[in-house]
Amino acid sequence: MAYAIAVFSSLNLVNRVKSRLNQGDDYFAMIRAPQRVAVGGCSFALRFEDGKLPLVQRTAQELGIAVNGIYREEDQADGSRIYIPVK
Amino acid sequence: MIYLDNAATSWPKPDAVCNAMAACIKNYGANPGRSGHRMAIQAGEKVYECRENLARLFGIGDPLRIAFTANATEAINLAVKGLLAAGDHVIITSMEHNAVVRPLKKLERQGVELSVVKADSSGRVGLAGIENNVRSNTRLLLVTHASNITGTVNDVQSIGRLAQEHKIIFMVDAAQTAGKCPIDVGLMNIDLLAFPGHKGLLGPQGTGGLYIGEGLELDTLKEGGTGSVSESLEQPDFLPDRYESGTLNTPGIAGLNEGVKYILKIGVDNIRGHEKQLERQMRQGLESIPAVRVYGSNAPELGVLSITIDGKDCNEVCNELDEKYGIASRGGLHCAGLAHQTIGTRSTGTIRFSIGPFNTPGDIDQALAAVKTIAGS
Repeated sequence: MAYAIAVFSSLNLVNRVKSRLNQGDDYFAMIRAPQRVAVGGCSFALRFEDGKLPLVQRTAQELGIAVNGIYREEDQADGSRIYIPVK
Repeated sequence: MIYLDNAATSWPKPDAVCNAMAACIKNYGANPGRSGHRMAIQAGEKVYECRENLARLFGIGDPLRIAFTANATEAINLAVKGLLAAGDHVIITSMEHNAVVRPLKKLERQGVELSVVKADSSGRVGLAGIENNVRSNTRLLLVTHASNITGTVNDVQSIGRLAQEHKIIFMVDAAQTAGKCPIDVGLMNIDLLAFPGHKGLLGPQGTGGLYIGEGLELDTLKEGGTGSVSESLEQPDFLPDRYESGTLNTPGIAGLNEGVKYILKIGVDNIRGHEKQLERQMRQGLESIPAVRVYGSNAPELGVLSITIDGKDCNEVCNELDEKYGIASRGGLHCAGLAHQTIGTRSTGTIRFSIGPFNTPGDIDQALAAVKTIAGS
């Protein structure tokens, strides 16, 4: 299963979006954003199946919360993980 | 102990409050909004849950517009010092607590203009008195929702409408009413709402908050780490991070969350109804004692009663109530000298009984019996 992350400026902002999203049937997890995609140095992110991306974007927009970046996770053969920006 | 000092801080707390605080410290007492491990995430989720429940209680659309503070006093300081500048005019009432008066007296020395609208002898403020004080530079109208001395509840909905008509920012000090009176920031046109966590909301001491209405920008009272935009040397510009520097009181907020949930479950109207019933019982009993004078409104409002007893020192009476009868009350000026001046008790102080949701008619009977004996009836 492919996953994506949406990066936000703070835990508080992620919690607001996550709380709204988790009112539905799906579960959206929160993680500390990987440093290489963490805008501003400290960020938290929502992690979700990448098919849920439009829902995440729409929900953040409805709440007036800026998404700092969206990335698709891609695991590499050597065990590392890269983050591919989603436009 | 018969605890009748709920206006200072409520006691006892619901068991769920104590249990939630213990669970937080034992199981997930990490720093919310900093690290990414499961304990820190859980702590952050608990803090947000409390924000959501407070928003539900106060009719706030966006929970992120609530900034946690250590108490209502800190919330008031953040609001007035973050909002007002030299040349601004602010209107308050003569029933305000020192939490309001003292920061504003300091700001007055820095060029903020201050008007105090005198309340009537019951502690209630009228609309005409407020409107007469409005000036072209009036930026803020700050009103206590209810007096901490008399329990008199102001009609904040009408006052809020007046503020809106004059395009003045409206702030309510809900120190005595949060969790005890219905509050809806939209319905009441409230732009800034300061509240303690440890009184009517039944949370622990060290908790409180400030609701900051849409479109309002306050300067910060403190700056520092927020767990967000750490590359920047400047404070974040978004709420609540902008106003929540330093580690939050997570165990306290976990407890506060349970207090708010308790209130949402029981219902503010039911809690108020219970307290008004006990106040009615106590008021009738006190008014039947010849040497006792009861201050404030003639009707039950908030479960707060102030009295004097002829020839008796208020603090000596409170000491006697404690030592001989196991009754907790509070004597003196209750950090509200201006309000005592308004009701005519500045020189004597009063004995204050403040009822909480866990008091019973039996508690009131015992308190009345003790006062009767002390008053020589």
